[in-house]
Amino acid sequence: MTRYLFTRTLHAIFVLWGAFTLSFILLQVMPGDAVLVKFQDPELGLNPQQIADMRATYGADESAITQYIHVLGRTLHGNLGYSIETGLPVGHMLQAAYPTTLRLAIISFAGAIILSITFCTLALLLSEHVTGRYIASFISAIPGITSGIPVFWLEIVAIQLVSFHWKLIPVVGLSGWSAVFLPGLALAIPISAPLAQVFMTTAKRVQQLPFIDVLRARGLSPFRILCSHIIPNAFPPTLTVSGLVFGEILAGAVVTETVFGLDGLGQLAQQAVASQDVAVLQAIILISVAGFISIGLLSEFIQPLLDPRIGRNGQQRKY
Amino acid sequence: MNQRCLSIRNLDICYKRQNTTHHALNDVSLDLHAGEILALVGESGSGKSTLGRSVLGLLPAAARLQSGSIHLGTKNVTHLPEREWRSIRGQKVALIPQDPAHSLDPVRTIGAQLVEALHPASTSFLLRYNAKAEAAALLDQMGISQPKQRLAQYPHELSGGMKQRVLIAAAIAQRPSLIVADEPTSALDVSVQVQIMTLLAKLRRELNTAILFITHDLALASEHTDRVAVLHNGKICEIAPTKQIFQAPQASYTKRLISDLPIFQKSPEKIPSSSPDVITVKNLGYTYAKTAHSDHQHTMRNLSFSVSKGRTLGIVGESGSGKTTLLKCLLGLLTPQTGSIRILNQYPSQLQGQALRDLRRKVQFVYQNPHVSFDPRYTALQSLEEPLINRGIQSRSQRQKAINDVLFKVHLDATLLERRISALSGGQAQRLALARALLCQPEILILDEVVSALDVSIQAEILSLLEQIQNDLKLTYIFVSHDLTAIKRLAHDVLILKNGEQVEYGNTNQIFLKPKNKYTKNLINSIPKI
Amino acid sequence: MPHHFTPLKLVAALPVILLGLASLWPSLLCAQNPLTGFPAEYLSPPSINHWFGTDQFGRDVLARVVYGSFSTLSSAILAVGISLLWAIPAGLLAGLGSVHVERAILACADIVLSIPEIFLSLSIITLIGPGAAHVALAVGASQAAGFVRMIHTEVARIRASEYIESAAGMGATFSQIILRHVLPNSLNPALALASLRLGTAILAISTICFLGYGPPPPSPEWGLMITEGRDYLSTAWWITTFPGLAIIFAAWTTNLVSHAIRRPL
Repeated sequence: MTRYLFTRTLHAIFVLWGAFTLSFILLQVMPGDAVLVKFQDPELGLNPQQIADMRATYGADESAITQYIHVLGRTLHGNLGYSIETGLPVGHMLQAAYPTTLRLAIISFAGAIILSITFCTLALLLSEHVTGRYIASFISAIPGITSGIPVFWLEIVAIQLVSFHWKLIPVVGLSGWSAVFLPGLALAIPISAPLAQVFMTTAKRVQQLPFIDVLRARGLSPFRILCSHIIPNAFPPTLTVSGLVFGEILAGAVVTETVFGLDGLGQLAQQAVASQDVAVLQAIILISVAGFISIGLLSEFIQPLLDPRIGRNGQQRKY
Repeated sequence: MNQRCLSIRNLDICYKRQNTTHHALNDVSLDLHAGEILALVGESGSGKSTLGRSVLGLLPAAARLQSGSIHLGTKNVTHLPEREWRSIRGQKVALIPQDPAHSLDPVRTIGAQLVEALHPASTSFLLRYNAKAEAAALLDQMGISQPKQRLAQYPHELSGGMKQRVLIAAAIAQRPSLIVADEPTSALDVSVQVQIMTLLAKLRRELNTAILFITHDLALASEHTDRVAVLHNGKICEIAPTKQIFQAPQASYTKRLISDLPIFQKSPEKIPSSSPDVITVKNLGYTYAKTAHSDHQHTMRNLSFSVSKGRTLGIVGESGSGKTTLLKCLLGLLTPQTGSIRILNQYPSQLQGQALRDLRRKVQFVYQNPHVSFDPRYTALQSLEEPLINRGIQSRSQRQKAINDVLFKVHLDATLLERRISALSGGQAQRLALARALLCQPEILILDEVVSALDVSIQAEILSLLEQIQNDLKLTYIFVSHDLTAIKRLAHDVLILKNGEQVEYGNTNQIFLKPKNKYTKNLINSIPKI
Repeated sequence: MPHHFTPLKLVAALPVILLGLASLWPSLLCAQNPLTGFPAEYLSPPSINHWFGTDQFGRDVLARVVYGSFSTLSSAILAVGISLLWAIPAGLLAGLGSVHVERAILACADIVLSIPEIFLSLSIITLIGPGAAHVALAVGASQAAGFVRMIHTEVARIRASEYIESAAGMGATFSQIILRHVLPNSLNPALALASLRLGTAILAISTICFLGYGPPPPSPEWGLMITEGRDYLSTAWWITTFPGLAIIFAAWTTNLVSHAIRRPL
């Protein structure tokens, strides 16, 4: 058990380091000289001496390896560097931006879970019924379509309908949780699709297992079988896609925050790309990788609690 | 006589698939009285499972109950709506399923599942809490030690036999008057099989429950049952007291079934034991390294045996006995850690490249499940051509001739060659696997449970086919089986494994007559006596 | 087993046919030009002449949606092709090579997978700049790691199967086993996967184009059309609605294709 924990943590640190290195290569080594590109813009009217000073400030005049060691060292100390665009410490910018994204993620994740479970329960219960089977097969085709809905489009339509046409929720002048309510719900719809698909596939496979027949032969009602047997069995495999869902939420956050004008990590990332602000972009990548890894670890540690067959050694079960 | 628990009259059930109708049951009538065990014997496709499910009201959606009636006690349940069935299942009729490994919910505790079986409709927490004691008493009745501790365990922590006991406990939880036992022992080891049968017989005496015992194994039906019904193509061709069925069978199908039982077939022909040894195993040992993936440590210790040309060595072992490890060593897939294996005067662990491939070709392996040992994309013909191409036979007509010859040998029709493996029946696929092995021109065949998944009559055919091929081609067999009667039918010598150790080795007839080891005695005693 | 064509299967194939026609032969589906508009008819709602209405420059929205399908689909196919170019050799090597090779490749894939795809493709865009082909390259490169993992799983599963063991038992060499059994059997799942990935690629590409890193206006690109139409949403809903529906339709169609490929065998 402890050994397992140890190797998993070691692997997580390795992946974090790898992602850091990859993003460093991608953003700082390969483009050549980001600072040079930025400040050589004739519109800024800087003379060569000023540019050289700037480069020295950002450490861009050193070799790639020295830079790498320098950046790695300061990152390990919790210093994420300075934004080229605003000149502010990246850490402060992230601190200001992350609450919005976190709220958005929580709302959309909770919404997606509720949506997908209601959806699947409905479809599974209906499929027990003779005439309901057709409705059920129709319902189970819906995630295949919702997974293809572009988030940005859905949100534009949602603003138009909910805020302007029906005037239910205003778009401007909101803060905190109320500001992310509508965006979170809109984001939840496409995110619920992969969850629902995995949940439905596993639930249908569980439904075919011999023990379900044995339970029916004991006189249990379909609803009881669904709630206390099929759902507990289908839930742990669904957890394995949580990492994927996290990535989708982040991708959604970039778009959502742009559409709704929210000051979150997604907006920050989008601005960093637009202005080629590599330090900010790299910090955001690092944070999201850390989030991805911790969610993966968390789901791996929760799984044995939900499914006793999975030992803490990560053994997979076989259906 | 006792009161009637189940009476089926002129039952007709058919399956409708697209445009075809398949009659699963045709004019079936039978009665079952309290405290009686009726064995329903039939091969796959005979309709025995359909009959069992119809009694539970659990027919698949494609099945149609055409005519006839089913009464449980005095209640007519022929066309009962699903909602009413729920109050009957568990209370009046219960099921003991076929495969204990997959018949318990893997993520709920034994206790939770038993409590649910005791009170299927209740949601009251207090009632369910109190039911724990009842559940423990049930387990105690099943002969399970430390019942209170077991309640907190999960199914995967129990052995196969233990799981089946839990399932039986769940079945009798509400004291049903009828139990449908659908092949309750076919997935279990032989020695456990006997224990479960004894338990069923005991419950029948104590609770006066009627048991409909569905099985494909006629030999198993000879003990503990009162009457036997033989089902063939959806019709009952004979129903009579057990003794009468075995001593004076009336229907020709019953006669054939009995004569196909391996126990009634002759022993293998005598082969002079002076011929040279083709396989010599000395002090073979293999221990799996303890990995993070398994807590069990499988070991195999100190195996020594030899097989001479043209003879058959039967290997008997229950799950976990180390026989898979032994086979892997023989095939050269594992390198033995201690001891040595010599096959055809070569040491496979020292060979590489072409020499190893040549040896592998001479030692052919036939799998338990032929359907997964063929490339699913290949037709039967393509699969048979592969070993010939490997042997370097370029000419198409030569290959065709070799294939025709081998098909004749295994009694397989050439019209099947265009089919994919998934379109062949179990018996046909196993013959094809045999044909493919023979095309490699082997000297040794390793047969791993090759008849276990087949019906009795097809089993008998394959066994005699194997014997005939052995005599024609002077092949050496290693025949692995859990079925001692099949071993006795085919093997000249027998090796019995338990927990990775060799408990007995020698001439088959001698061991069956005078087993020295206690474990072997137990095994031989668990063969149903007819 | 022979495949019979039934009316139902034809109906199921309709979306695929429609999408294929739109991208390969757009002039068949609409006569208008996607780039030149009729300023007199700007922002007119859907009508007989303009089924999907016109945009702020009087361009026919239907024509832009139909011509846009080529841009989107070709970018998506290019993206998936780029992923496959990386992923097939790496996945095969991981599935067939030694334990060390397998571990090294999977560790690399793990690293790439840990970075959310959108950030990876946006980083690549900052590196190589915007543009239609660049977007395809960025999306393709960031999807490759997932492909590597899935191809590895598939190859490893086939390699562990009994029919491979029995082929080895019949004296086939390693390369014969790979060519005869492993590759043909992994082809189908790989194709199904590729078409499923086509759907995610379509979504990712239109998202990046929506953010403004795709081809510049006036190209008929679905994501770009939605950005452009945003300002007119309250008065002209059709400019944004139809490109959005087109994206959903295209993604759903690739889903259908993937299911159809996976089913046989």
